[in-house]
Amino acid sequence: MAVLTLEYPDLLSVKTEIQRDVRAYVFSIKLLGSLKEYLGKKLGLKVYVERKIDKKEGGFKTPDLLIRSENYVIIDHKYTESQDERTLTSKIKDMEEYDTIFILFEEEIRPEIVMLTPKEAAEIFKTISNAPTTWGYVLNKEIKITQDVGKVREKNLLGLFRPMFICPIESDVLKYRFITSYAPLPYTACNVYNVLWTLKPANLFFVPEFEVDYKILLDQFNTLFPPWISKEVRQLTESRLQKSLIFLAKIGWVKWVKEAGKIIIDVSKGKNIPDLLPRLIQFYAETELKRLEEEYTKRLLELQMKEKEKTVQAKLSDFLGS
Amino acid sequence: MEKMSLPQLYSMLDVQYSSGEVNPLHIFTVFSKVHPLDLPSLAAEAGAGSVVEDVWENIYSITLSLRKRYAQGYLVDHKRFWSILIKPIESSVVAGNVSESWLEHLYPAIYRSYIKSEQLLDMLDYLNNVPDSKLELMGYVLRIYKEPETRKAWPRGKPYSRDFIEDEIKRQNLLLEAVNFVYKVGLMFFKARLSNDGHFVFYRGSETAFSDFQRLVLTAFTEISLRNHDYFSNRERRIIEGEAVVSQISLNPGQRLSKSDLENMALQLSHDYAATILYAGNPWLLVNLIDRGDGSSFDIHGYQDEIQIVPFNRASPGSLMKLFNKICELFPLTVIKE
Repeated sequence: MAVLTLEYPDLLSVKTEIQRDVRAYVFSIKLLGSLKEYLGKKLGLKVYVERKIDKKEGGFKTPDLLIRSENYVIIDHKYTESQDERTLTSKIKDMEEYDTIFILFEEEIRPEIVMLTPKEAAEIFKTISNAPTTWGYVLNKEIKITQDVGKVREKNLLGLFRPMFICPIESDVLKYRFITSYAPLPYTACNVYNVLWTLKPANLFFVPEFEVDYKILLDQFNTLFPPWISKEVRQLTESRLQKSLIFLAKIGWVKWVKEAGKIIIDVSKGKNIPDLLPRLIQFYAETELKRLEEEYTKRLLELQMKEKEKTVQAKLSDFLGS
Repeated sequence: MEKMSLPQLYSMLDVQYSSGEVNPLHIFTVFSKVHPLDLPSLAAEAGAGSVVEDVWENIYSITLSLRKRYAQGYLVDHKRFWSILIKPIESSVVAGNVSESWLEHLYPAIYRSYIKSEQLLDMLDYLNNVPDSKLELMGYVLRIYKEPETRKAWPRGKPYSRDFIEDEIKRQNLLLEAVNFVYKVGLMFFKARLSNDGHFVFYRGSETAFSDFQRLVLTAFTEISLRNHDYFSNRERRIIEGEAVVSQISLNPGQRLSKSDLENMALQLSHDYAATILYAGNPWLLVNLIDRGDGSSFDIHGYQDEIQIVPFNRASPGSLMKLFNKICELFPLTVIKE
């Protein structure tokens, strides 16, 4: 979510950022699902998706793709629509964290690193001197990938570029709505709302509201996550569901009777809204804006305090020095 | 209404529609999830009205009403589908419109059957190929989504030609919605209108014309629409041994879709569904649809040369057929990619 800067937050930029996060998430599902299936099933490479790996120096990372071929290669999706150098440099910094020794199956590995970005961003990374190996992609009916900065050394992957690597959109991406990474709340809420409707009792036709059992909803919600996600993440999915229910209840689309384990869906809510997502984003952005404004004020006060302290220190030093 | 069996009903209609001027008979072939005797209470919940009475085994008299307008007739429960036969009380147009609106109100308890343009033409081919038959087209209706229909008079005396209509459909990029025709085999004849959404109008005919119309036209239509119904059945996403299995339907829109075509599709579909447009890009589209009628849900992936419908955890055949028909209305040259 939004990085706190000392620019005063405004609703439009918060909304734009959420919209971009949703797009990034949708893109990640298509990219990771397709690359996993294509590289794994079709090319026979071992592909780990969103697998947590320990750093030798301590801590861990969860790269989007870890490919075991003759060597290990990490491919990490960095979605950006920005041309701003500061944003792009932050992506490079993120990638640098992979430039280390990891421990996998009690073996020390130092994977090759590839940054996967939209083609437009890759074009800009070409002009930045310390950019890692960068693949630019165009996502459509298939994924077209070019090597825009540097070249991957791993032979099996290098051999895919003739000169472009075309990866079909695989059927896996049609099956799931989530990956391990945390999705923007409006996206998750849309999906929860969707599942709720599919649980409308089949024998109820023209009712103003209907009820869904929480446990059944949770079961169904869990099926939206791909099989590669770890057990510990799977356990956390319930908190994602609950946050979404709280959010949908705040908007008034559902009532969550927690103690009864029931969710009541008001059939008429949202009926005249042509696209549900912007409404959810608007609502979420308003909440986010409040939080960001509070943080802004707090940070501003901190900075003012620091500034004051500095002035006092300087005056004191001047006094003592003189 | 008097008690009568199905042969008696057809025979009564044979007599009525072969003698003198009568208001045309409107026939609807529909699918249902309920029992006919449940219609009065369901219609009341849906803001419509209905009176249903047993006439014979699987035959019911039915009155449909919407506000002050109403229509009367018979409902025949064929188990896998229903035929609703409406005899106009006011004008034929009113009877047709009231019945159409009533059916819309009753969705998803009752849902329409659809056939594609080429299937409608297949039916005409079939009638045309019956030995000693003569199929005289009077006119046909072409249409595209939300636009006024284009009525075309068939050139007088010109024999039926599938190629001619197909060329028109392709040239104008429109959907074949209905045909008006007179059909003759020996001394038997009838005049009727046949639509792609299972709404037929029977105007008049020779002595056994209605029974012949039922045997030749309605049976052929229901065979095709049942085939379509089966194709769109059991498509929901399932979890088998822990893994999701989807049964997507790939469509060839028959034209290259631009970004604005895809955006327009999302916009039009959002009038009929709860829609979430997740991506409307350059040029591919990802939109999620919820049918508020029965909770069916679909992901639509739109590309320049393909539209994929990916049914979600619930996807009723009625909802899927309706969606497919809407996409065909938007892009009339759409065909299913096998």
